[in-house]
Amino acid sequence: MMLRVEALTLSFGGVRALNEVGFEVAEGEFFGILGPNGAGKTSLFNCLSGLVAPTGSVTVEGTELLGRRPHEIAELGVARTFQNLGLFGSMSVTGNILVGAHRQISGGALSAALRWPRTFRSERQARERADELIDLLGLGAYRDATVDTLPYGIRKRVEIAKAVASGPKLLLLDEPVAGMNHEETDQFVEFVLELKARMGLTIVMIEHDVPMVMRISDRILALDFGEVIGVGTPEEIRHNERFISAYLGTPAGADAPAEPQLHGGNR
Amino acid sequence: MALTETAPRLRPVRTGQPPARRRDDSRLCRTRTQRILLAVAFVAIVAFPLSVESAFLISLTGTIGIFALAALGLNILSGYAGQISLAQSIFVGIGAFAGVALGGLAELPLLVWLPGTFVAGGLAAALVAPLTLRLKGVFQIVLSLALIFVGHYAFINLPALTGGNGGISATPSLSLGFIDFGELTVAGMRYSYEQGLFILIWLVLAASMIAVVNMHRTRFGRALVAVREAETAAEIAGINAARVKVQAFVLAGAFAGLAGGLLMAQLRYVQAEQFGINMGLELLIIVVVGGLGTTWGPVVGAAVISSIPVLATQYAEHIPFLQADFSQSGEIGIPVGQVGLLIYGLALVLVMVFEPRGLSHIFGAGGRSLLRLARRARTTSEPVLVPQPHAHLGGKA
Repeated sequence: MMLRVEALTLSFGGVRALNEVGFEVAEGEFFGILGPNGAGKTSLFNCLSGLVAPTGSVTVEGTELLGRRPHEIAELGVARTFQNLGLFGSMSVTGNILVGAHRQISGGALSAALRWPRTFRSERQARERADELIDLLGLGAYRDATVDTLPYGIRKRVEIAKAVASGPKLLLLDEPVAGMNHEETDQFVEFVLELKARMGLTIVMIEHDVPMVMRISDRILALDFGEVIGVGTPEEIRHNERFISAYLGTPAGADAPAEPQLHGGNR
Repeated sequence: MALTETAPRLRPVRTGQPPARRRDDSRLCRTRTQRILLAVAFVAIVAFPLSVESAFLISLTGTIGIFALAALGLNILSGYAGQISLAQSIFVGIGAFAGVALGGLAELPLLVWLPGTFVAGGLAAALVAPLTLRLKGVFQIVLSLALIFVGHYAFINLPALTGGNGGISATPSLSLGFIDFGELTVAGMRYSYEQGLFILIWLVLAASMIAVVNMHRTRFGRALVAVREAETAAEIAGINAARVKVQAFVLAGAFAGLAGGLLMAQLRYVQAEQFGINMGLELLIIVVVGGLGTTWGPVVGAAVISSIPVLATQYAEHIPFLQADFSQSGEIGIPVGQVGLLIYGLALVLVMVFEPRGLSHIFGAGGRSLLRLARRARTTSEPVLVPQPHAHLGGKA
């Protein structure tokens, strides 16, 4: 089992952001997470990447994540993207991707200062891999551009390139297509599936674009008010009454046109 | 990462884009011009002091080199890693007194006492780094202020090493064995101690700058900038932010220590009073005015900030409203001792308002446009200042 979450509970003061959440993700799976705004989806990701301290258990290939610091979790092969982007504004696209590749490059301050050949060889290899990723994601025209100057859609792509540059086993995507148009979303799906196949990734994705999640996920977790309201294949979730009522507000919504289009998260 | 393995080559998501330029940005010199300039700089470091006789000019440029070195260290911490410190002067002091102990009292050779000052500064910084880096922003400034007073207290209460309030003199050896910077003899010509020391200072500065450029362009340097820009995102990428910040602090202290050692060699007398808040402020202003997080910022900043007060003092009689002592003449004006503060403040305000990226950015942009002009003058027979119509539209037709 790639990822196993058990009895995960996270409270902020009196508010239970997550309550006894448990699910499993198999290796190579594309796992979608759906839920209305405030359902606890991003809190769940923050637990997985060590930004908050919940109770319960989260294991990746049998290794416990809770209690580890974010950079230690990254060492275990877990990478994530942020909903509002975690890019380094003053650096170039290549620079951002190379920061993503941090754990794949060897050498510290001293060996760099002395121009130690091994360090610079590893640096060159990382730059070659970064260039490959740049071509793969169609970022060639922006290779040396400062990230702050790029449009939002391009920055979202850089964010994903940065995350996969670490060569992760498990990739967590937090609303990767929020704010994108239909065409950009299709493009995103194309290259994420390609990356997944090529790098043997297991992907967990939070997204509000319900049709898209239904289309590409192997299985889906539906959350509402910090609780699991359903886990299963897209077909099972589509017919899950608790899911439908969570998204549409009333049980009568079951008769409404399928696939509600909620676009939370875009500002 | 198995991007290149058996999987078929993916066609780029968007076609019609130019293929990415392949350029290795971790190299020291990216263009031929840079390689030539680097060689010229090394020649100048040796040629300049040997061809200039003015003791005033040699000592001023030596001082600039020393302050640039201390600022180079602070630039790693404040420019790249984004952590503010006013206490850089304390580490300069620690280096200076370590130099007195190793080079003066213990009479060790240059190759021992000078690296010793580097290590002393770094060790002292490592001792306090965990404290200062726990704090952020304005609290960090307050703590670094406190550090200055603690350091000063330590200095004046260790009279065996520092001479207490009175200071201590030392005559360190500047000999490498085959070459003695203290008594430089080239082609039968004897050169002064200051001329030899100039070469030593600027060679150390050049080597340090190259080391810092190497760090900045590789994994460690990117980690520093990443922590400055977005600490959480940096940690998610696998960067141990706490550790990286401590490393930056230690490097800053080490380069400050090295500068202190050279300052001790230049003055051959050091006193705790020198390493107070004034020097700490001066170094921070050098880094900001020169350009935070730039390669040449510390040097440009030091050249401007450290030389203007000295020049003002030297030429006070020619400058209106400037005198050494107003108590005798009864006129109104600025005493030379205060002019430095005035200039620092003015330079800081001007830079923050007109070019927050610092003077080195202005110089860099100016240099690049000069190069462009020169290149255009070479490639076209047209007069440089009369551009061909629509040439900027790439009209090859």
